[in-house]
Amino acid sequence: MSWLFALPMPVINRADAQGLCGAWRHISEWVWLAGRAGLPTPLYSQKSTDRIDETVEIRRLHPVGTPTITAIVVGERVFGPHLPSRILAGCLRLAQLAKAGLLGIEFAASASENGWTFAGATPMPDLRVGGEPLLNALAEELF
Amino acid sequence: MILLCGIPTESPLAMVRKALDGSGEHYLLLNQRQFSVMDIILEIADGRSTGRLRVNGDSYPLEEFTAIFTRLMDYRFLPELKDQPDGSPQRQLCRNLLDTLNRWAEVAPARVVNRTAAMGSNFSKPFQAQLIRRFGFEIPETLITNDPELVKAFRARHQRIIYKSISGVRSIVQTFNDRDMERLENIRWCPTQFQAFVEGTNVRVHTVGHETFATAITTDATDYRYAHRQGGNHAKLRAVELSDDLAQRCLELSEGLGLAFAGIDLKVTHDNRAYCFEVNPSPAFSYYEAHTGQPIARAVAAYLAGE
Repeated sequence: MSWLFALPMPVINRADAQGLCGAWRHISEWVWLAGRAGLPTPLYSQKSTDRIDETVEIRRLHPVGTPTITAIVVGERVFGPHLPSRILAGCLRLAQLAKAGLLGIEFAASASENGWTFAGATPMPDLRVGGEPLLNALAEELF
Repeated sequence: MILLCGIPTESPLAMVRKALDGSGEHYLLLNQRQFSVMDIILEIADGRSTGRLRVNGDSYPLEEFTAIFTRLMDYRFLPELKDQPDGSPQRQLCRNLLDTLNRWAEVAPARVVNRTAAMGSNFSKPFQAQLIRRFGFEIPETLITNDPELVKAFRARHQRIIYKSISGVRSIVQTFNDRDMERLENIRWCPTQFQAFVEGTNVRVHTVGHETFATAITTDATDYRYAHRQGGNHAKLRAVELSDDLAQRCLELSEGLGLAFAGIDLKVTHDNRAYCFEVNPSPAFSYYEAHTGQPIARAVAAYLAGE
């Protein structure tokens, strides 16, 4: 981690104490940040009496199996599905708040604009979502 | 209201509590060992956290807490859980309680001493050293390796070197000697941090908000915390004044790491160069206050009170 952090060349999502590819945040922190970024978020609830062992199971904002759509932010650009402008701006703002040069943002899928609901974020998204344009953007950031 | 979390008899927590009593501030003490009479609900919506904490049947809205001072220990070592098997309901309850508390503290719009994410840099000394250097402090020449030959060359170059762990787990800093040379092969299974020894005076600086408290330590030991064990006399501590420049750099370092309260370990050389070894995000300041009378607990209490 220290070596990755020390690399002098451009690094997308430089290593951090919370993760080797940038901060790997808990879902409670992601949903909090997403709300601050202006993205529509579901109510997050966590209780000390919850019967969940987070050492073996992750908390989710939506039930397992909920269809999701992923957008990916690279710098100032967003790749993936066509997004309403308000959602697009929220994605960029979330990446800024998270200090992430590369960020995958998941939404629970719905046909209407009002149905775009934040479902999670990761500094290590599946890059296939953005295809060649995304790879070109990454290359521009790196070289 | 201020929330204090931990074990009431632990010295730093006890001292902050006493200081709050002295100033008449309203606080709630959450005794970690009594986890079975507590529960907490955290809710987050539109970037805002709400919820409630219940202790012994009394309920407190989370929004009413304006500051949090946490000295929570690893729940696995609580005496109340000693005989509990892994996965027992008691262990699960305790773990979930602390986890929910921590999750709330990360996002709460309150003065938090300190948030977990900000404390993260201390988990890796070489990582933190790189951050420290950005704030104008010197770092001793350092070698982290599992290669004995590199250590021999490093020692030959610097003559006197010390070694310590890389991680945030406390280790005793030792001067590397000829006996260590005989067991140097052991590092092949444990990469270790070696540093050039720096001559000078150990200074611990506690930063609290915008205040600094500097303590100089006189010792003939390599690690003053273990001076007696290392064959020397007990360390002698005295309050000292920092130059304005050094005090400002310490404050900027703490703020830059996101720490409202920190213990900064310096060595100041005879020509006034300040080497920084580490920034402790959960400093056991009671040791320094007990020896010098510096009002560190009072400053922490004042910070929690919003001053």
